[in-house]
Amino acid sequence: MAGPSRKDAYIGNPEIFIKLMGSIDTFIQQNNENVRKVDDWMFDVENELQKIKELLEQRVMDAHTKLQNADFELNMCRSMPSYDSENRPQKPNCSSQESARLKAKRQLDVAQKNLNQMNELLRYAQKFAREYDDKKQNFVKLLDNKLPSSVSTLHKHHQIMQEYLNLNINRNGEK
Amino acid sequence: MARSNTNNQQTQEHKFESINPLVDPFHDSCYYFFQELNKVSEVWDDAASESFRHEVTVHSQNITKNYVEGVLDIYEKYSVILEQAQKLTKWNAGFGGWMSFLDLSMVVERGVSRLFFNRDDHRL
Repeated sequence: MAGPSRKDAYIGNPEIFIKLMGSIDTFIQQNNENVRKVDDWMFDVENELQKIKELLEQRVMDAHTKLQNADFELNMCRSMPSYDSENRPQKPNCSSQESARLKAKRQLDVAQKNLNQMNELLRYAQKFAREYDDKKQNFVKLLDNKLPSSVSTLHKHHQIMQEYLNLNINRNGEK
Repeated sequence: MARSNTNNQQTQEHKFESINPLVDPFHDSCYYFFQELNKVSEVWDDAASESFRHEVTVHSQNITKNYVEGVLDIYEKYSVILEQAQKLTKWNAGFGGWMSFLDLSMVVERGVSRLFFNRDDHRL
């Protein structure tokens, strides 16, 4: 027998199509599951990021409240009448309230900057998720459309080959 | 036949180094699947086989490689982002030197380039 030529059909193993169809089905099944795991992981990370954002927003609100309270305390202090030892009116000493207000203001600035950074991180996350999603869509199309379609084609090849093999058996049987 | 047994033995003995928990599950299914597809021409060699090689084997390999690179990428980038976000929740976050948005982008990109320079491109 001459070696296989590209013009001729050469099939060394009649089970090749069955084997390929099985492998493709397994690949589709396993990788649909793998894609789902990636999605779950991303969902968990995004949830975690969202919780961190909410925590940082809460800190900004708390810092706002503290600053408002410190402002109130400072204004109260400044409006309180104060007198020296000789009973003359003097400017009240509000240094502790001023210090508390300064601290509260700094805490608010820090909380706000942390929240801004968090928002920037979230923008990065969204950008990266979109980039990933493009690649995922192509892969999902492969799993949902292209590979199942190739299984159909292989199935047709298998049927043709079975018919051919049956034909040969019948001919041999006649002899 | 003997050669086939040796190949099977090599296939079974193939061990993958762990990369990350998202990519690792793709190792076995992709490696063995494409190994099998690439060997198709040994037992099936005609015009239909050639078409199968182009339309299924090569195409699937490219799409899968691209996707797994995307998974590597998103794992690395999300991990860096989560790590940076968790730092912002620390009690002393923001009281030291500020990380600018440029620094932030560099941290993310550095994490990713580390992945790209160290990765093994021949897994699929």
